[in-house]
Amino acid sequence: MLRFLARRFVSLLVVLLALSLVLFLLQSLSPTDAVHMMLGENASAAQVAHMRHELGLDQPLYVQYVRYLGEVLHGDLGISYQTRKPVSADLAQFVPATLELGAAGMVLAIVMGTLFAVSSLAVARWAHLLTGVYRNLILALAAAPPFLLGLLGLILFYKEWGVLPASGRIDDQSFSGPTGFMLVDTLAAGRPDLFGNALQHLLLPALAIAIGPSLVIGRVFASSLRGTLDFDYVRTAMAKGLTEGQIVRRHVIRNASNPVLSLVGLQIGAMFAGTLVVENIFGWPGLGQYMSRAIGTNDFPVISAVTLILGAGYVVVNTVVEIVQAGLDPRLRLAA
Amino acid sequence: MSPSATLPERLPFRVTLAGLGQRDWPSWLGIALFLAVFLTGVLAPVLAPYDPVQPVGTPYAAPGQFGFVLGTDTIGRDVLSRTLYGIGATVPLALAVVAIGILCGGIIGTVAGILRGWVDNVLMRVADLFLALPVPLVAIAIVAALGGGTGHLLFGISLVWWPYFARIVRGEVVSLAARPHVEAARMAGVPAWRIALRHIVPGIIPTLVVLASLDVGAATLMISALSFLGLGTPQPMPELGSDAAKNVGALLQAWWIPVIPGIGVFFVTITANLAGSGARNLLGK
Repeated sequence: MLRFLARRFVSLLVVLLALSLVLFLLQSLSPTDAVHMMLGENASAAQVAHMRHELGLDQPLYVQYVRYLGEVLHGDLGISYQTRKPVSADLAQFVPATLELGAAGMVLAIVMGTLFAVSSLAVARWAHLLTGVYRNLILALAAAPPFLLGLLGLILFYKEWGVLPASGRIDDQSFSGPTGFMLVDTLAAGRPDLFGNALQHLLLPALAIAIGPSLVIGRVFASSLRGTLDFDYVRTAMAKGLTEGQIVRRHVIRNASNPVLSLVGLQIGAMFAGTLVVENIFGWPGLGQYMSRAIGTNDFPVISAVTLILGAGYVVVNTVVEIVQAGLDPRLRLAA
Repeated sequence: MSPSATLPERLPFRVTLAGLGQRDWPSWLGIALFLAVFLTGVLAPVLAPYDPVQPVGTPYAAPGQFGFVLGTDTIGRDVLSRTLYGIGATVPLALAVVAIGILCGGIIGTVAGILRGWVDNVLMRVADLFLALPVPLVAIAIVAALGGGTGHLLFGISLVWWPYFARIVRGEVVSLAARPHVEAARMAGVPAWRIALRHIVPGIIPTLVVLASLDVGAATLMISALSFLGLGTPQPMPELGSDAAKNVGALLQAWWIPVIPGIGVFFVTITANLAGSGARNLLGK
């Protein structure tokens, strides 16, 4: 296991380095020049040269990369062209909102994916004629872009039925807490009413980003369940006289969940991309809105920092998933 | 391990493509629907009732009002015309992303699978590195760095799209290279490039066709997400994602303005997915 962990750790570092290298190269390849963005159009040649030297842009690329890497490791993610503030200060404000939305989306995706998987098996077993209908329904949902789901959700749940709020994270704008995670902060402050309110705000955007990944998870989970049901030990359990529920709970789910686990890790990428889009619909004050503004103004340090943070999160989560899988299934440890 | 032990259950190329002669109507229907959407988009200049960029009527006209089938937007442009043009911009782009991905991934995967050794190692390490990164985010960063626009969108997404194809094609090539007909050709002294072109590439084409057709829907969703974030063709040119994004604020008075471009994305994606599963059924994968 130690050997396995060491290998995973090394490959984690390699991937993170690759990510930082990609972002660094993009920054230097980008047609928008950092110095011009910072000094404006009317800067004199001397000013430009001075700034260039200050930023180290007159040095060879590899020196610049090492310098960039050092800054990133010290938590310095550059200065936003637009706000002139350190990007890391802005990030501290926006990251919790996005993480909360992403985490809620992931939980929903796993729960709904499991429901899809179990219900599609149940439909195949008890309502055979409906299988086609069910499959087409899932196919249709999978084709809807997250922003369309968000817009339709707003029309139905906010405008028509008035049961869910349309934007923001909480009605009481004055409320804020130490962690920046509304669900945690409201509970810590002993305000269950605000907790409920924050949960209501969270529901629609989380649903909009969760539906797509939940269908992918559900499809793989269902086929993995079907495969596991064919194993001899399941037949043995049946012969022992266990009920179907007992067999699924005790013998099937755990064995079938391994491919699903790796998929959950991979779906986080799609989830983050969905978050960036959906935040703009629900006025969610997170990285998505920050990123959209930065795209509009060519503010590449911001775009790069957001990608680095979310990308690093993605890579780390996937490494954790691999380690958990190896913990569950010793064969994986040996294979690696 | 003897090669015969690893022989995959697989039909020769001509027999596999013969699946296309089947009368499997649902599968053909899926393919026909996608072709219909594709043609609708490409023929937008003929089909669209109005100019997509110029205001042509009262702003905020509801669908059906004043003869605008899908209504007008916040400055009085025809939503139907904009959506048709938007589909016309999106579908070829999605097809191009997948075509470039298939071509690059196919070539790299084939080279790696035939040459093996260090070339294989280097190429697959690079592919794995890409696969370990969150593809949509890296695509966003690439396009944002280059500065948006259709060409950059195409380049950025294609750049992250190939490794997936390369991996699958390499696996397929390696298993094909272990087949007796390839071994026989090698013993007869046929050069490697000729073995590749004549005995291996035809064998991977059905796989490529299926992979490609299953991927067009995913490419469409990715393109619309990037366009939504403002990384596509700049306004006022019609594009599905950015038309929805720019009009989110109008949702509560005039739902059709942001929703209909989204439904456009939905139509393209669902017909592409239907065509993909149709192709898979016909080619028996």
